[in-house]
Amino acid sequence: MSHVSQPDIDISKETLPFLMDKFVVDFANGIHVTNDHIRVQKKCTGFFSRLADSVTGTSAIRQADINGNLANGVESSLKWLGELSESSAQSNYAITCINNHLNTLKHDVARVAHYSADTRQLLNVLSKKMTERCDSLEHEVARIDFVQRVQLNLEHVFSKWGAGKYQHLSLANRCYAAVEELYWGAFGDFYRSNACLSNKQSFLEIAKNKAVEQLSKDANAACMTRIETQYWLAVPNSPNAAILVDALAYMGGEASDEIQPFIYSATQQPKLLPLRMPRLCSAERLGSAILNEIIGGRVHV
Amino acid sequence: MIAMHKNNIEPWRAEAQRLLRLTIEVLENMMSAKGIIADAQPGSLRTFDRSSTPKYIEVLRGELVKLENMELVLAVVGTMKAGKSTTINAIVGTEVLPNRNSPMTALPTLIRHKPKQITPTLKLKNNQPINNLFKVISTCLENKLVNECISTESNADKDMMSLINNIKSNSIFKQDYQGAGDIFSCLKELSDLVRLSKKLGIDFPFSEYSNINQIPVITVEFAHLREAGKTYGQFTLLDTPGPNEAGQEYLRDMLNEQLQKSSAVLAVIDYEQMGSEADEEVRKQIRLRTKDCGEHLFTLVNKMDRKNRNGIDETEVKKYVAETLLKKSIKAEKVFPISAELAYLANRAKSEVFMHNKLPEDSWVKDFLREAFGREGKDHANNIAKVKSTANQIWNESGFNDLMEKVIFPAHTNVELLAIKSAISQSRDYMNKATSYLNNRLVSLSKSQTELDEKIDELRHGLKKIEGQEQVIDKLIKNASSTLYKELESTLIDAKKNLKNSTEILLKTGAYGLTKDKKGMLRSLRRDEVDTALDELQKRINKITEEELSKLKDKFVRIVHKVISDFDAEIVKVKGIVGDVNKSFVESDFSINIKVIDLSVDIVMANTSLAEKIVSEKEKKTYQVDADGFFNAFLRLLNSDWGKESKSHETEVFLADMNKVEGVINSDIEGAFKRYLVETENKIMSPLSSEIDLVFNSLKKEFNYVSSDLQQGINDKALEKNVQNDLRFNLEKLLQNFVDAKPDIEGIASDLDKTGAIV
Repeated sequence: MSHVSQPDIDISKETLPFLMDKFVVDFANGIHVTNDHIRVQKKCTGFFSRLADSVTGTSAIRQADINGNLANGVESSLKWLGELSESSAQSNYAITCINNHLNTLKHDVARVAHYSADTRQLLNVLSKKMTERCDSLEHEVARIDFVQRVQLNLEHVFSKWGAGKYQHLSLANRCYAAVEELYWGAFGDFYRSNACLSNKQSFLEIAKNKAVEQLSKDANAACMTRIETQYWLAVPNSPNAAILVDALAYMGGEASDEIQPFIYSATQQPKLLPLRMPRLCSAERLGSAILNEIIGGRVHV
Repeated sequence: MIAMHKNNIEPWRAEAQRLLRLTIEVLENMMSAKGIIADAQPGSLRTFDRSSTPKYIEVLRGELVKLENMELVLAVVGTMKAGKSTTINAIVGTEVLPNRNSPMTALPTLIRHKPKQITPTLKLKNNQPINNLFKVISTCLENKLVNECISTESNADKDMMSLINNIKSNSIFKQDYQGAGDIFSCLKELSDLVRLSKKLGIDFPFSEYSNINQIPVITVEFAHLREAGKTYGQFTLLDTPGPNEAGQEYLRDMLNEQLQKSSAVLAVIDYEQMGSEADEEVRKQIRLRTKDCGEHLFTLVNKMDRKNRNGIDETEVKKYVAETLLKKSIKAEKVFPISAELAYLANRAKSEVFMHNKLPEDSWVKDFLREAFGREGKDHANNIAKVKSTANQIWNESGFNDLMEKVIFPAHTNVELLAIKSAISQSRDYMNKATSYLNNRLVSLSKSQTELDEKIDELRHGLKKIEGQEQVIDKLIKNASSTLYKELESTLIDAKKNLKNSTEILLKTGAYGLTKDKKGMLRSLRRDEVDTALDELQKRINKITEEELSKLKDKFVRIVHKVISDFDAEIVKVKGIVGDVNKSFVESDFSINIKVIDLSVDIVMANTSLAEKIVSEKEKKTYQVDADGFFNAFLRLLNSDWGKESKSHETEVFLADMNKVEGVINSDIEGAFKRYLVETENKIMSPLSSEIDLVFNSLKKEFNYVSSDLQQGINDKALEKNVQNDLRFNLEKLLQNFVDAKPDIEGIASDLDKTGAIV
């Protein structure tokens, strides 16, 4: 594992603010209870570990906990999850995801007899906390002024992009990062809520238009002009690019080349582009596809 | 030349390949997914069935192969005297071809650029025929007399002697040769072998090499392509033997095919020899070889280095060569003054510097240094940076760079564009078909049996209406045909009457100085009087016939226009019916787009000036027989029936039998009218008829396709619920592929439309 300095991670967090949310969700999802053992997913390699380091500061001890396959690993993991979800999981989306996974865990633990009462207790407390946060979210979304927060989210993300905060990313990844930020933010909350469909569509349309506009500005080409895909995927030659490439590879790590060929191509930088990735793209095509793959194509929880 | 830059073609090609692969993959998935594609059933027309779908896939695979194997083939023709080998060595940057003063190219040879292949290799898979020849020659040489004879004759010829010794020592011809030196000797030996077998009266097995896959292939990295760092697909040179060299009758067909397929044909001629007798022969050979090459033939005028140009600029040189030296047989822009020797030196130097970062001790290096730096050349040999930049400069000056950049790559781009267009058009066609098919199956699942039955009924009704329209239109055409005939009859009667009257009046009044007697004879003592009278009469008849024909034409034009406008009105109705069906289906979420093909018949009336042309071309006095002539029979008759009536009379009387003349006039005008009718039938009515058949047949087919697809939808409804769910899931998944790719295929199709590649 290459050593990563704190400033590097800070750049990643600044450019991709949803990174820590994703990290906590992944961490939560990595806690499994099967046959008296925990299995922490293989996320413990690469960028995930770097993020873990950056949170704990005392990586060695924590690493043992995360990697540990002792029964009490679950307990320590849950403790840590409790801390993390307070400190690092800012977004409602992350809370919802964690809550869902905790419910599954509760269900699993109930079936396995060997867990200590302490662990169960810990799980229940944590789950209760999360459920409360989720409930307040529902109220929040239902409030009239939530729409304003969605608008603010949109404006914030695109003004950030317009101001060059994504300059170290490839053009395709700029769009990806922006849409991810929307997805983890109020925009995503609104989209996942049971608000009326036409309102959702309108916001989606606005987001798409803004993304296409900014892409076409960055590429210095009309939004319907078809450009070589490699141009959209090219990583700029800047000192910060490398760490961000890693961060994005982590973010898009679950993308499938068949179902999300655009995210896969942008974040995983495969040597051979997948069959479903066009070799020529306009800003319009790229922007629509990325938005669709993130917002339209994902299983929302 | 197209405006596209060559760099833009690569992404198009890559995208076309992707779309083909995607379409193939999805069609294959359609075949393997359960319940998507049914077995073919006799009498039922389905868009996709188990017999048609593999064929579609085959078509797309064929397109893929075409795109992947697209080679830029540069065929080089010319003779050793003109510098053909040097030209090839110059492009390659290594001396792969022997260069000497005897015919060298025994067999056509492919020289293929392969990135990173520094050491050239030659492969001759089909070496058996040559080894057999070795054996035959060896046996032949066992004869003492032959041996002595050949040895004495070849004594001065070192190469030949070494070949003979090789054959005697039972050495064999290999399949692989490595390195420029070995390849060089192999090719030399091959060409000596052709000469030797000719001397011995043994046939060289040329016929074994009449297929492009049998000929020798040299693979090596071309020096300047390495540097350009661009991918031009496969780049291959084809070295061709001259048409007069031995064995060409076996190779001609293959070579002609290859020359036509190549991206460009380069004919090398020698500037210094131009105008000489030898040059005339060379050019005759080149003409023979390249007569079918057309637009992609370029003439390289070799040995045009600085010494020869004397300060005239490029355009002037091209013009001078094309107009003065080549006597305007080729356009100036197709002439390229080059210096193969300079290009070779430059490219070879570049290659050496690239590989070894220094120049070797070699005779060509001296030439290069002298060329590059003048007399003090040697002093600069170690200044590698300087050598490099000077080599580039010389390469540019040699004219090769221009040739590559301005001509060869754009020509290749054009060839590629056509292949990409064809690939995209096929891919798009099948994508659209499959999209409709999958969508209609999917929509059918969500419809009730009654709704589907109604839709099938709708199609049936539509089809019936269309068949009704087809009959109406058929009738229109038939009526028009019979009207044409009727008009012809009545016009003909008038015309004949008119002709008869006019001639009668003329003859009665003696307008030509002669009158008809009671027997209907025109007589005179002077031959020239009869002659003149008949000439005048003929002119008159011509004029009247013209007028009558033109009346007929006017009538025909009216009839044809009427039938076309009636037809248009009926086709509008057909379009209405089809439009209604399309609309009703689209409203029910089906995706159909049945189209009425536009007619492509050119409505151009046949010309009536047939008679005029023949008469005006005819010499008045000769009455030549012309098989197609309108008045031929008339003239023939005059020839045979006028002349001396009787020798016993004291005076000669010249007669013309006007009864017969009248008969001929009538049958001739009838012939002319009928020919016009046939012309009208052939040029307008029958193409119209067959086009209409085409329109209706394709329309009926489309209706049947949709109907069968819906029928399949009804069958789907009989399936178990969970099977239906699986089917729905599969259909949606398959369909999504095409929905996603739709903007891409439309995008590239419209990109390509804008390029307008030259065919």
